[in-house]
Amino acid sequence: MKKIILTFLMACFVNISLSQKNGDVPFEKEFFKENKAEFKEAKKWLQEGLALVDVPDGFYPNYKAAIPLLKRAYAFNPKSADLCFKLGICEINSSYKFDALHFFQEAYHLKPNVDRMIHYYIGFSKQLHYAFDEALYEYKLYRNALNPATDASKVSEVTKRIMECESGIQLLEEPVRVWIDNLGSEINGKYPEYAGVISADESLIIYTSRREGSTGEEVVNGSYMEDIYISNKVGGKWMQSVGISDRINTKNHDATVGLSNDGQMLFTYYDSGKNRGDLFYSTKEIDGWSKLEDLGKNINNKDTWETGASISFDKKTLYFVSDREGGKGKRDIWKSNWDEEKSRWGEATNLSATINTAYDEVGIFVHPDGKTFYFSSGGHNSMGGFDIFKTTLNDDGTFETPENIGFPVNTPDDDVHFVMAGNGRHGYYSSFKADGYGEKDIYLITFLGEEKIPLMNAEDNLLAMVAKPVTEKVVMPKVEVQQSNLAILKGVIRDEKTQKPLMSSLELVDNSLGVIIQTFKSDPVSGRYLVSLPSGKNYGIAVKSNGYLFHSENFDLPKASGYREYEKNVDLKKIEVGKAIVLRNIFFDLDKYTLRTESKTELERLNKLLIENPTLKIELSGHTDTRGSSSHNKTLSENRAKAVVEYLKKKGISGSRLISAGYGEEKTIVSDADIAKMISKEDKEEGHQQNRRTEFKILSK
Amino acid sequence: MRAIISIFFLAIFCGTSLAQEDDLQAKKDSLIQNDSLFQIAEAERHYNLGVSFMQQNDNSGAIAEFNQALSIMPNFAVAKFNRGMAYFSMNQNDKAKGDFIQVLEMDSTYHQAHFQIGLVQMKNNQMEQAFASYSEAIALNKKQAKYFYYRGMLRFQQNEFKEAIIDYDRAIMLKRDYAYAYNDRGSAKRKLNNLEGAVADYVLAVKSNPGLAFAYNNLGSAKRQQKDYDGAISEYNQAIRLKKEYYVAFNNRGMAKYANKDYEGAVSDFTEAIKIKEDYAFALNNRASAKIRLEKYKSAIIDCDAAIKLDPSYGYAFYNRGIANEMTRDLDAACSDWEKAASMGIEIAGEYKRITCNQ
Repeated sequence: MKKIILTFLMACFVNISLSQKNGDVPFEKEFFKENKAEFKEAKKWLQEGLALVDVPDGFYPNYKAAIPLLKRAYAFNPKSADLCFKLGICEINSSYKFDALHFFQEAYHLKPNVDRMIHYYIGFSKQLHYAFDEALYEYKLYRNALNPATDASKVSEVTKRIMECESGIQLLEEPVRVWIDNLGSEINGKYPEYAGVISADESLIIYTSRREGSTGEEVVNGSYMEDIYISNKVGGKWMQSVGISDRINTKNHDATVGLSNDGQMLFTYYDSGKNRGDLFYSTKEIDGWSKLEDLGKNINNKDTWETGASISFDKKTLYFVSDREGGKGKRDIWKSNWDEEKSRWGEATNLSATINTAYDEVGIFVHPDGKTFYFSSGGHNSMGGFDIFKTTLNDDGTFETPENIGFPVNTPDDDVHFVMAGNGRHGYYSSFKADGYGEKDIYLITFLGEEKIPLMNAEDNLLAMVAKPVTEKVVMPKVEVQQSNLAILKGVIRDEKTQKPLMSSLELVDNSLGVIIQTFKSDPVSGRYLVSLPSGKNYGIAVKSNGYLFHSENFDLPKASGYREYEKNVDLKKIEVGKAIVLRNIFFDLDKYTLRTESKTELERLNKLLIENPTLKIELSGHTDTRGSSSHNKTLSENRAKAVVEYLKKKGISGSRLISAGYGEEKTIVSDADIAKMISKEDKEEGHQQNRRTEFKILSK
Repeated sequence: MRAIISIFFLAIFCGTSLAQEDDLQAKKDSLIQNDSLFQIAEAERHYNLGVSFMQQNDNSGAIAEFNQALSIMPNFAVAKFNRGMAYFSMNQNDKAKGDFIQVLEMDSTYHQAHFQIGLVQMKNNQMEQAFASYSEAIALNKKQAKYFYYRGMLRFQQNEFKEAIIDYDRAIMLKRDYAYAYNDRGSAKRKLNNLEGAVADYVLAVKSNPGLAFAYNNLGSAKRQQKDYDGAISEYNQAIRLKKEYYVAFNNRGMAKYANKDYEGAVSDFTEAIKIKEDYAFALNNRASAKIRLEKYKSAIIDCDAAIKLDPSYGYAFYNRGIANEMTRDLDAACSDWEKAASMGIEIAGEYKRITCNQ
């Protein structure tokens, strides 16, 4: 016993003398005999601050609120190693983590054995400062002091950090070329703004803020409850954001997680308190955003936590984040297909072992090209916390190995809520930056792609007898093309006469398969529509509205055809005598008049129109371009019109309602003179294409 | 020379005298003989004066004397040849060629005349004819290094680099210190991407004649292509030391410094080149490139503007200005520049326009 007491006293002596040797001055009254009143006051701040941090299990520490209290105590006694360490802990758990390093280093300087984890925290703080080599040194010191048998989880944690630093060193060597711009005061403010979601054409942003004026009002951990805000871009500038709708913003947390490409379907996270947090959706209706609807039992689960969602371009597959059982670890990305028969989302399956890891995967975003996926993960080769990764869906359903989208987009801290515009050049994410408006702000990232190498000229006097220098032959560098492969078709659907917006439906058809991929609705108020068309298909698009003739468009997009945006306002014509429309999705082989199978959907649409309007009598006319002999073109166009008439007759439409006519090259849409003025081959061909067509005209009702 | 001419005319005389059988006639002939000898001597005197004038670079004086000589003796082939040379020196190429042709009419084996005709044809850009003339000269005399050298040069200009090397080889075999031939053979090897061989030949060129600034410059460029930028800079330094106003070497040294990531140094060299040659669009464009690397985009745009003003069809300058405009966030200007560059055949500019400009 005597021996134990002696050892204890010795240890105390060593500890005190070590502390004092290094300058540690604990918050104890014997050290402040000469300023007792100030000590008492400072001790009070210290205790109040610690009370916010050292909370019982089941409660959340309020680090943000503790910092000013502890700093007042620190102002009185900056030599307390324990206080410095605690301040470091608070800082590293706050939004702005960079001050933590100072406090941890100070704590270590004052008392090297201040805490068992001091090297870990110094390492972590250094990692956040991109000092990866120094961080590695600290982490290794910490790991070497651990006992693998009893500290297995800590060994695992610090080993992960070491891997992050190693990734960080590599990622820093090859930074990606980007511009990162704050979206401005119309979107951001002094409170946290994050989780921005955009329409594919970047005309709309919906995001989450914990700003003052939240419908919840209640302050939690120094922030207001989450609400959802919306802003439109007009003339290239974001308008002042407003709360999205009382139907969506509740007194609880309401947060954005996803938006359909056309901006008509919003996905939110809502924690009603009943479950652990679920996914909901709202659609744009004539009277505003609809009430939030639960995504259903295959998505939300009573005991699971769902936090992110993104819908495919055809709205047939939902990708979402859940911590449900059967995953690869923590939260994973799952997918569910729309069950047309049951009119609900089907059974969820884990997305892929290539994407999901033993760590968290969150913030899923499916690009409008239908192939490229972005998500945040704490696994893979993250440089710290969550990093944003990109992967591609192959034709066989497998995914490419996720690729870290790189520094400076990714940082050693958490990088989440990333979305990419249809053009593949603009991304949006939230980040805490010193020059922001305060807390987290939403930023626009412009991806500049590979560095553009300037082209130069050298010349030499290659031949002794020839004075004129010879210019060196320069081989052009190859360009790394990084862009989306899709077309965005957008515009307003209006009544031809009144020019008033119309609520319409748009059918997207895969012409090669002859199937309707999806049906969309235009904005019920503005008549605006947006369809994203991933390349690699021949698309037919039909715009329909009750009482109007349908309008058809065709887009043939070869694979890797790059990014294009088409603005096309569609003026629907009422079903009236004399009105004519072009059937853009009726196809014939070159110089032949046999209908190609890709024409079936359009022909069926026409058949349906005639069935629904049994008194309609129409003229079907064929038209050619001006190439080839006019007599041949006339015969060809007549035969083509007849082929359509024959199809409809076979479908049961009386021949007395159908008249065929062949106009050959008599009624061109684009004149030869206009085609001659066009510069590119593609434009000229497009002009000829416009002229080759099948039309129908209403002769009587 | 005088002795040769005397023998030549004596031979003519002998031929003539053999035809004389009559004594009386022999007397007459003896008088004529005395006259001819006198005329020959007179022609030779004028010829020699002409040669002296030529040696003093007084080609007009030389031509006057050769004319005198030829008026006395119209078949005085050497005088005709030398008059041709004097005309050639005075850039009166047609007259020169006329004399050389007449020489060949007198003596078709006169290889020097073939060679000189080749030179005139080369001056007149009649490359095929020049090639034939050099070949004729070589066929008549295979010991003249310069015949091979000139034919090699022609082959080089016709992009027949392998064949050019064969001629340069022959020239060098005949004249071991033929610095020009080493230089040109090095250039031919460079064209065939044999950089190692090119460097070796340029080294031999400067060893044979250490005063050749262009050979040092070429050596520097071959080393630059080998990515030996420090070595290249050192050779360009030599070229500039020998020829202070050598703007081509300044431009090339700038390129080597640029490749070495010494962008400030590159800007300084391009500036020197522009100081020497104010209308040097290449150096202006190259300086813009270095400034882009230094992120001095506005200044780069000014340089590109100047290069484009000097050469409105300079696609690289449009392309580079597009890069600088993009980095100053003036996308409209960047896209317009890339469009222009693409229309001038810079394919990569078209790609950038497609990727960046329809957003």
